[in-house]
Amino acid sequence: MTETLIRIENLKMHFPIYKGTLRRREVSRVKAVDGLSFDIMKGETLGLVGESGCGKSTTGRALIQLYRPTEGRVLFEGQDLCKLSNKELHPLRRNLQMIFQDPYGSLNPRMTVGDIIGEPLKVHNLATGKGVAARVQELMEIVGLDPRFIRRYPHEFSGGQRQRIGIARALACEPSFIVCDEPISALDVSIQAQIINLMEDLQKEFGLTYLFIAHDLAAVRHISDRIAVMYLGRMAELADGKEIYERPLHPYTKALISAVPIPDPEIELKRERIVLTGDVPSPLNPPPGCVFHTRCPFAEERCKREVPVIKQAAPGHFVACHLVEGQEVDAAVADEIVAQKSNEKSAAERTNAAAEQAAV
Amino acid sequence: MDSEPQKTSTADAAENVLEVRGLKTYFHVEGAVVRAVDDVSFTVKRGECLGVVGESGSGKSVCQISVLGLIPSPPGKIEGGEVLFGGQDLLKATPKELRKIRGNRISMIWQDPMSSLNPFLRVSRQLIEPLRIHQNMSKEDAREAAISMLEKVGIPGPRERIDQYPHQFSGGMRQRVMIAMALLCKPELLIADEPTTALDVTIQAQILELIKDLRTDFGTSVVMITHDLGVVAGMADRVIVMYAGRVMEEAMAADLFRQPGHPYTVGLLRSVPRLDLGASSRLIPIDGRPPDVSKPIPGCPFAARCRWAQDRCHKEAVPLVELGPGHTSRCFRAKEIYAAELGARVTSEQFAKAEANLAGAAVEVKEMP
Repeated sequence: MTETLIRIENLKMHFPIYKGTLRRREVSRVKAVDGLSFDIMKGETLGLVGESGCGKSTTGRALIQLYRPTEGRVLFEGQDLCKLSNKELHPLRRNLQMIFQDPYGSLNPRMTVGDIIGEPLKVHNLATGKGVAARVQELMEIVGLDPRFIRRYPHEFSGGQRQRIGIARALACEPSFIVCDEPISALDVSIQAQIINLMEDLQKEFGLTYLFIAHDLAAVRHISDRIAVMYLGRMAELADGKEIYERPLHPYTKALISAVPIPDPEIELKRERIVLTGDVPSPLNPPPGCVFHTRCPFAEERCKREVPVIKQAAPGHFVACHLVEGQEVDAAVADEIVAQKSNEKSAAERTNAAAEQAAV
Repeated sequence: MDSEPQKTSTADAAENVLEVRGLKTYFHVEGAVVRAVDDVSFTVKRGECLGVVGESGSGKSVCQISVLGLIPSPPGKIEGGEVLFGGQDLLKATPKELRKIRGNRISMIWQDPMSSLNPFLRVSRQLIEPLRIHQNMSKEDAREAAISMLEKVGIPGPRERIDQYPHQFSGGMRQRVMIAMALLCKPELLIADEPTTALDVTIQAQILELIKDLRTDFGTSVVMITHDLGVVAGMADRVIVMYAGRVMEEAMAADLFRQPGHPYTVGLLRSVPRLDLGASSRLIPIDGRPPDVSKPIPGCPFAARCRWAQDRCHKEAVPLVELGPGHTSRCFRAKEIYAAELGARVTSEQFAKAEANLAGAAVEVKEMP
């Protein structure tokens, strides 16, 4: 029932830094993403959280090949996207879309809404002539914009409406997978809920799969089925949304969750905070061993030397920390267990349903 | 209902540090009058933290900037009101008198620490300046005071770092420098305008802890401007909720979250995803968007987006309704909303039920004790 849509294996995205004009040479590398492996299931929302500079946006972009990854594989429908040429990639791109953070910067101010939403249709030959306008108006209606505004320019819309335009553009080619890169962080609180609800509705209606990238843990927890926590280009923890909130295992996840303020003074009073000291180290020169050891309140000697491997602490709950007990796995095997688990779950549901029917 | 006795009695007796009455700040732009702050009154008591909540454009920042006399004029103009600070009306003070107060008795922390520090000057020079001007300290004394303040705000190696430039500090560290600068003259009032919005959550937690600690150490009153209800819940003693340049509701923080009395406050509470509730509850957004304040609004500015608005809300001026000690709401139906108990803990089912009740005609509500 649950099948993998995208599999990421050992994804690395390094940005070289050059020095010298006549003899240009690579002096070092920003290791924005350094060895990520995980699966994205069909129809799920995978939340990706982390602080700024942890590589979450880079992961999203490398995933849909906006950046070509330095190393690793991105398997989509069995094909390794990293090995394809741009030409071979072109027909696949309609399945992989993106919603951007900045609703001001991501829409061309000199194009009308009709042109913006219609462009992907033309690029992929999905509609021609009058068909384009008809489809654009249909899309505008789907995202809650008045179709009569088709000839207006982006500056005539508010931030929330612009984000709707961005969503309509991403939907135009009927994609199966959308990377949502901080789609709500530039919006006002009362507008954020509108966009979150819209995205949830669209997912149900069109069976979309989301990679939802955000630094706002509360929003991610709200919209995601599973949540991956990143720190300095590596995966710290990956688990079911409820599980990660109720039973976080990685010290970083614990600190992150305790740092998020909850809008209820009574709860705030009782909460215990793990306040991390210091700042995130530079990805240009990440610390050896576990990248988190410089800020970790529980760090031991071996954390400074050995890079922690991914362990499975509970079915579907993966964590990269020396201090957590668990079975060592490589991510691919781990995902099969997740799939197995959800199969069991759905099987159990089926038997339950059958039992109920029998009772009736 | 189990409303316990209010804790406000002691706070009432306490002295007001700042008292704002009927403040109006208008901007005259291109022939239109933008009523950014329209008849706003509030007080800040000694030692308390007042949270000012609102969306962008609600006038929450303009309101505090007006208090400091920093509104650019033209186009801005303060059209009326009083700002009483230590018995003195700041709106009538001369620029020279204001300069003696700003940075000395009232300090401000801005949202963006990069653009509020001078990138060309060493941190030391920027920290020493207020002490030299306001407290006539010698250079050496001021430097020592600045170093000990940097240490207090948690900057490691302050003796070395004080001679660095702002770009050599990270975002969180720069905000610490800003806080150190604001607190150097031991102000009576600290105005913090979204001090953590530009920061990551773990750094935000550090800065909020720091402001809390410093509040107890120095006894400074704090005005915390923010759009984040979570930050308010953790920091503020009392809260004012602003919308379209007006104060919609005022209450002690615990009361406001437990039993809000204004539809806008209810809307804000329902539309924010909560970490502790997760995916179980669907968000209830506030439809539409904030009104254009350059056009006069005869009734309630929130009426167009309000799920419980009635005819009169669009036409008549809304009175301030008292709901409890220190709890006021600017809404015709404040008592009904308050009685429906639509606080932060309400489940979706309870909310739907209450909503159905409120959607009907005005319900008779017994007078609150």
